[in-house]
Amino acid sequence: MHGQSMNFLFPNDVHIMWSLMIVLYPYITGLVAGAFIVGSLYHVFGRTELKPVSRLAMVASLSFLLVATLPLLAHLGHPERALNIVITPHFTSAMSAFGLIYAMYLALVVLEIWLIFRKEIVELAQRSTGPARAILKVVSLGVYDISEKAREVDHRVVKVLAALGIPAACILHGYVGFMFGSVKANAFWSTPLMPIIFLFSAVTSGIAMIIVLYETLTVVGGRKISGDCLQSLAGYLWLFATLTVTLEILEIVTLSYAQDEEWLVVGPLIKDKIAFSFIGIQMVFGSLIPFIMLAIIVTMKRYLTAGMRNVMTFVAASILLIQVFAMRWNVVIGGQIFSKSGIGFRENYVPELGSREGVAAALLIFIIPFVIMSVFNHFLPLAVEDGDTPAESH
Amino acid sequence: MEHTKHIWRAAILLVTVLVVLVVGRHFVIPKSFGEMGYYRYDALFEYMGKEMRHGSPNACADCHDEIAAAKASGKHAPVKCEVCHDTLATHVKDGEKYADMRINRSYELCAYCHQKLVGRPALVAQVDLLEHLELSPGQPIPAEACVQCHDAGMIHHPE
Repeated sequence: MHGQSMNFLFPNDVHIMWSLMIVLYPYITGLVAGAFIVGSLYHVFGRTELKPVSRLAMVASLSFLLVATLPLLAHLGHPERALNIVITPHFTSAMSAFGLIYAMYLALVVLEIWLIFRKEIVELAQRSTGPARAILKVVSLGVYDISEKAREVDHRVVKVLAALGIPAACILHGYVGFMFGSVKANAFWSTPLMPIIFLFSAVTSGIAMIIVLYETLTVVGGRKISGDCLQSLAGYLWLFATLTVTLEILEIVTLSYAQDEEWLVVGPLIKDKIAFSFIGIQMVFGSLIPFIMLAIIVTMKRYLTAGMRNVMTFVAASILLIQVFAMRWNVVIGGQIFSKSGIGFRENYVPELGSREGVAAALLIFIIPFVIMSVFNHFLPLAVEDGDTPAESH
Repeated sequence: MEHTKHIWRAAILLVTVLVVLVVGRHFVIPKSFGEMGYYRYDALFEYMGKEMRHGSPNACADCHDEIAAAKASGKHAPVKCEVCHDTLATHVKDGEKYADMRINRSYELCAYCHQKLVGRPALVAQVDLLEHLELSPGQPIPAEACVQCHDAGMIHHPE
């Protein structure tokens, strides 16, 4: 590119500071927002075919929400200072706004889940004895009214909360994209499109995660997968994956076509430095293959057997989960591989296995939500049986 | 408003939590926070109260003027004595020497400036340690590898 100046980085620009944990953070937050949107499709927009996943979606959202801050904690260290950002937030810091958005969203999701499961909580309280009964009485706030009319009230409140939750989920994840998009020194991040791309890929990953969880839970539980539900989820997944990938491509095409100065470094970055994870994983394996699979599921459903559709949807959803992770990786790590001077590259980042920010720690954090969900499922079943009349029914 | 008792209880709980958080926040904010800006003002005094460890840039020259003069004309002139030697307080108390000065002879110290790095200005000599020592990756680097050839004289004196 520039002869002798090639490979010059600013002296403070040598290391990749934002590690695997900062890749995991938007990934988990995206799953929170995405899963919530799936729940809302049922609770707010009356997509009744999604009833079988309506509880699962809300509890998945909460489970991921509870660990959403752990990657940041592992990255920054000093857990004793973690709450300072909440106690003394400064509004010039995008990160400190997170404390407020997170708290508001947490309250909303907990309240909504409480109302959805109130009938089961009360029934469980009435069946239990000893300390469990006392705890469950507190959880039910001492009200055992699960009459038809009380459930109707629950239903109306859930609908309002879910409606409020949609902008909250969008802000929660849009802000994560904003954190990258507002770094104006970084040519790869600095675009107003960033929050929107993050938001759409969040919804994609959320739907994909719910599909994977639903199919797994149903098969393991020996129940029948609802064809209408899965078909509908596959349709939504196709729509949101298409929108996400279109936006991702548009961002790059705009940079490339405009041939602005940043393309001098972003071009080689994509074509060379992150070619495998961007072109290979994110675009071809992660986008093209599921796009074709989902297109077949959506447009040729009468030629597919239920079993074929279930397997194809599961595979497409799993690949899209990898695609969204690859997108987070390419944005976070890719955006740090080149110098902010725009004329040099640093060594590629390979995460360690055992360190605090390594692969093992990331896996451990990522497993926690599934543990939370299975514990929850043990006490309050996530599967919605036919004939149930939970609060959220229409 | 029949059958809404639980909703009211949840609402009261929510408001209570909110009030506890808003009021409780004032109790956990450090005492001098915000007095002079968006930080804990007392932190400054805590740092001011710490014992001085380092000397002034020319403190060593008070006793070691010959070495200081030699070093001043050498390539390491911009590097302060206490970068490779220990802090002045471990060696001098009330203007008198009370203990020998320790010297850091580890290769890590040299590598701090001289390990090859793309972000480093070319005027600092850069060495790929493994290549320079003819070691293969994974082989341990001897603790004092650099000073075995590059002695203190060379480090202090010109060229």
